[in-house]
Amino acid sequence: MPVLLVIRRTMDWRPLLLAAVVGTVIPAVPAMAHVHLGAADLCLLLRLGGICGALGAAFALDDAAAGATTTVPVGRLWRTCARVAWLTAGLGLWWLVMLLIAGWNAHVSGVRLPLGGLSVEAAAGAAIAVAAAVVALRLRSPSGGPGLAGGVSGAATLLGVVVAVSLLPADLTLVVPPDSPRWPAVHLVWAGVLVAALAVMVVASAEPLRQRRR
Amino acid sequence: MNATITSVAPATGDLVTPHGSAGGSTMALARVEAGRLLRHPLTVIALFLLTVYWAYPLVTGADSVHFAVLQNADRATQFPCAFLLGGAAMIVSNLAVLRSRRFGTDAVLDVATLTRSHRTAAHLLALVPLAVLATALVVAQIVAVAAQPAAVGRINPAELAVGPLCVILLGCLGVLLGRLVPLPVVAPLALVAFAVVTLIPAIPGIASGSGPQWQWLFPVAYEDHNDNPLPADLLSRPVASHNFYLLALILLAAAVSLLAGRGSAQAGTAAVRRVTAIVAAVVLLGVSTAVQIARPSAAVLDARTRAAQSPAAGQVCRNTQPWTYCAYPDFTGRIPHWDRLVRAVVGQVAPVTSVRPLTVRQHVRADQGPKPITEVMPAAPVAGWLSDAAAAGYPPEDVTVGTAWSAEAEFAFAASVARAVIIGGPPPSRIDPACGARGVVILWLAVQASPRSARGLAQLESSSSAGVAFFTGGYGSGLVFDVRQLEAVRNLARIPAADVGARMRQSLAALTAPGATTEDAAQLLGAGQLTAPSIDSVDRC
Repeated sequence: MPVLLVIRRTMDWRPLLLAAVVGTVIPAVPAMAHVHLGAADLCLLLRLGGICGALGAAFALDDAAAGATTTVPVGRLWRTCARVAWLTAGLGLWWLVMLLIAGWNAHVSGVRLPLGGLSVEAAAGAAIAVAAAVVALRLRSPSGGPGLAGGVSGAATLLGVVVAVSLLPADLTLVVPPDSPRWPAVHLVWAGVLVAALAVMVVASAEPLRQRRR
Repeated sequence: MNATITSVAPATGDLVTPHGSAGGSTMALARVEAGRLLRHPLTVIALFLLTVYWAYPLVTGADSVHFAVLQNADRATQFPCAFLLGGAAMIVSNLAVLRSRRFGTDAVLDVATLTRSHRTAAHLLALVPLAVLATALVVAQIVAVAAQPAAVGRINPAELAVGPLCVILLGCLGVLLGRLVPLPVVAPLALVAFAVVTLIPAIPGIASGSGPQWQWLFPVAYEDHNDNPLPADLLSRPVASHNFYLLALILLAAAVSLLAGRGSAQAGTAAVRRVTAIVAAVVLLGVSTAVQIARPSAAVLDARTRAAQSPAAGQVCRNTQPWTYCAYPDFTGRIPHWDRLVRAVVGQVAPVTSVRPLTVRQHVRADQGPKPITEVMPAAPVAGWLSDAAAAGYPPEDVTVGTAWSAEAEFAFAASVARAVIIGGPPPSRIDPACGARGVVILWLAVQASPRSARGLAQLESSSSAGVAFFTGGYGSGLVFDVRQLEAVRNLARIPAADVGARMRQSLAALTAPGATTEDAAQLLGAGQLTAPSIDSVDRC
């Protein structure tokens, strides 16, 4: 429990806050402008908002003092878990707000949005970003490098995944409109990605770490 | 050396300092940073993705590339180039500016010879090689597309410059953001925001065809009408002034990033020059904005209406005995392809010389401007077209054809030709039912015309539930086939085309008689028993 409190003090919340603000603006502007949009466009707005949140989440593991904490008695897995717990709480609260805005948008436009599936996509995106950050920190930190490599690597990995997914041919795409017959299958894939990313996080946090020779 | 710097980026003209060596050192730093920018994993991945994205359809011979319309293909280079390479430039140059902060070496740099603004200038100059690489990629892509034998239309070089200019602009924004907000999360967020605002005009109903053209305020002016390409003369794209607009934005971003942050508030001519550059950029920005958002001129709007309603006078006609093809001047390159399809359809029915001469005329829904076709397609003004052709001294048209080309368009064209041969009369102004045996014959003739046409029917079938309809030229002009006719043609596809053709020619009179049903056609052509449920209204005429 004390770990949670200590970790909260060392977290830099500014990237997440900034990302949350940008992410909220994307679906909020059409909500305030009372623009009538189709279900597919509203899904796209929520997805783009989710990408912003995931970009912010990537930076939650960065810690300028990471080099000094490798010797503390609390293991790497627990330090990571504590950060991810705070991150999940913050992101979850923000995503609730996003869902409220999306629900309002859907109400104005008179459509139904599959918010559960969209939440799975957003969670998978955030998990990819955080998992990439954990891996990057694991590869960098023990050799005395800065504990700030996680956010950059996580954000870059997420953007790469987003671009690669958007370039997939139509019959393989993982981004489908809500009325698509492939919706359940695609979201099973996203749920699998979420679980796989969480597994990577756990594996990459395992100790003991061996010092990498230069 | 100094002259080069001044000509590349006027905002950095103050590089000649009392130390004398600062300019050279800045260039040396710029070379190092340019190398790091090009070698960064993000840049390499972006280059790889862009190359694959452009090379894949070229290698596989996709219809979108094979039948490219060059006045659309040139601006299709803009968004991928700006988003992928520009995005990489933005994030990587932002990271480069923040490198000293991330590694805690700010204090070390403070005692180095080069000032903070010199280092900013080096980061800005480092973008130039990437922009050159972007230009090379864009040119290679458009040359490869233009070299396709069926490509038509004209390339506008000013359209090609937008992508590389956006690479520099986004890179400058990455440097600027790094100087203003020292958080590396800002650049990826700004990239997402860039993608969102660029795609706003793509939302149906946002972009207006005749009002102020707000989409030009975004770095890439998104105007998608690939399903309805206009002849180049009917476009109203102020892309030359948009290039000046982008240059002004680049100048502004560069000058502000040189001014921003601590350590750059030196007195004297340097600051004055930067402020002058900012003022010049703002003036250029204002002028180019005013020019580019102006609504399309009355002449262009008139020409669009003329091209849609009375195109005969502005078209080029070619006679390949015994048929006549009329197309907009940009699209005459399609005529040989049309001729091959017409011969393939007509040749199955009768010897080519014995068939009544057909006239094929191209139409485009130009009066709505460069907008995607999203609303319900209107009826084709066929009566107006016929009287227009008569006034211009041409025979009345039998077949209409659009400007876009794809497998579906090829099927629609082949079916229109078959309709003109089997049923005759002017082209339908609405979607008419192709009833009974005639529908089966038309469908079979269209499918056997070319493999691409057969693929087009398969695509139409997979995207519609009961029966299949086709459209031409953005108008609701065409035929609808029911499930029984489709089943009959599916069965016929298993029999050699020569056999079916022989049976069709043998009993052509019975097949094209007004009362002949789908069942009759199936029997006469040898399609076997049909299992799909019958729909009375379409089955009989």
